[in-house]
Amino acid sequence: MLVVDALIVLLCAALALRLLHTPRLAEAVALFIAFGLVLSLAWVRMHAPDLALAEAALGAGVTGALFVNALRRLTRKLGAAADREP
Amino acid sequence: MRASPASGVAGRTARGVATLACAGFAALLGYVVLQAERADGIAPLVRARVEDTGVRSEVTAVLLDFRSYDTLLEVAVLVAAVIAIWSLERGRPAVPAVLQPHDEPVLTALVRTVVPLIVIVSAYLVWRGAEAPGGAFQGGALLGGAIVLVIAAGVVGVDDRMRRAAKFAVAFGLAVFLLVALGTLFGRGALLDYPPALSHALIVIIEAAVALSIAAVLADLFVDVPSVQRADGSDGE
Repeated sequence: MLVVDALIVLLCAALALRLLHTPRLAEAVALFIAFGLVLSLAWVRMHAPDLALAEAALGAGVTGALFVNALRRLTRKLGAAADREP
Repeated sequence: MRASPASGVAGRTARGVATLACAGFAALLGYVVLQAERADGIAPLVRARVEDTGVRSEVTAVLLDFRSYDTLLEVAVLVAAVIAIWSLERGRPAVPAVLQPHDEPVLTALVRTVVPLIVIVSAYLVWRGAEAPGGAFQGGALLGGAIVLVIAAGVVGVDDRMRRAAKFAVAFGLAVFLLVALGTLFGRGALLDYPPALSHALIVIIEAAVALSIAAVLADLFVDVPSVQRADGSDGE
């Protein structure tokens, strides 16, 4: 179990670092959704199944959809150049 | 375009400093948490009185009985947020092109297979919340995700009838919760003090209504936020 916990911690940190530093916003949104799912696993490991269910549905699902929507609006307004961070 | 602070050497330095600061803070937090002595918190207190609530899940007992006032306020906050977004629509916004129904056979087939299953699972989550992990927020969030999926895939378009149904659904959960609250306030003298025989039934009814409300709120955020109009009348499309 320690291996699983260490893996989850490393994944969370790596995903967060990558998504904050990537210049491509589409990649950042995809990584954010993945981050939400790994965080949901972390909640399971902390014996909080209710939180895990909510995190998966909200953090990865609804917030991900909202981010994709926002990204689509940005790229439509500013063209493909908006996909890069300014 | 003016270069933002995030670009260039200064930007990279700032990002490096911020990363180091966050890593340092995380390390400090980890150290403190590992040093702290284990305590049971309120779990023993809850476990001692959970049978009085009529439900077996401790989380649901706390959310819907011991601290039901907090949950009532949370639902009110969600409804207030949606009302705030509605109030930003100047006049009648056109439904953005992306939300019109469009014909994509594979996506439509996938949605038609998966969404009924999601609806069943979400209803199951709400029902099981009384005994096991689940409950109103989880089931409602899942159902909201299913509605977002259906709309985003273009299987149904967003028309006036759907908007009216959404408004009703958003208000429904809060209304049911308030009804129970006022009923207990005037019937038993204490706010949200369920009569012991009806406790389980009331909790399940409130959970079902709140789940519906949460689903409507989340779907409404997805539909309505992109169509919020700016002061100059444009909607960014």
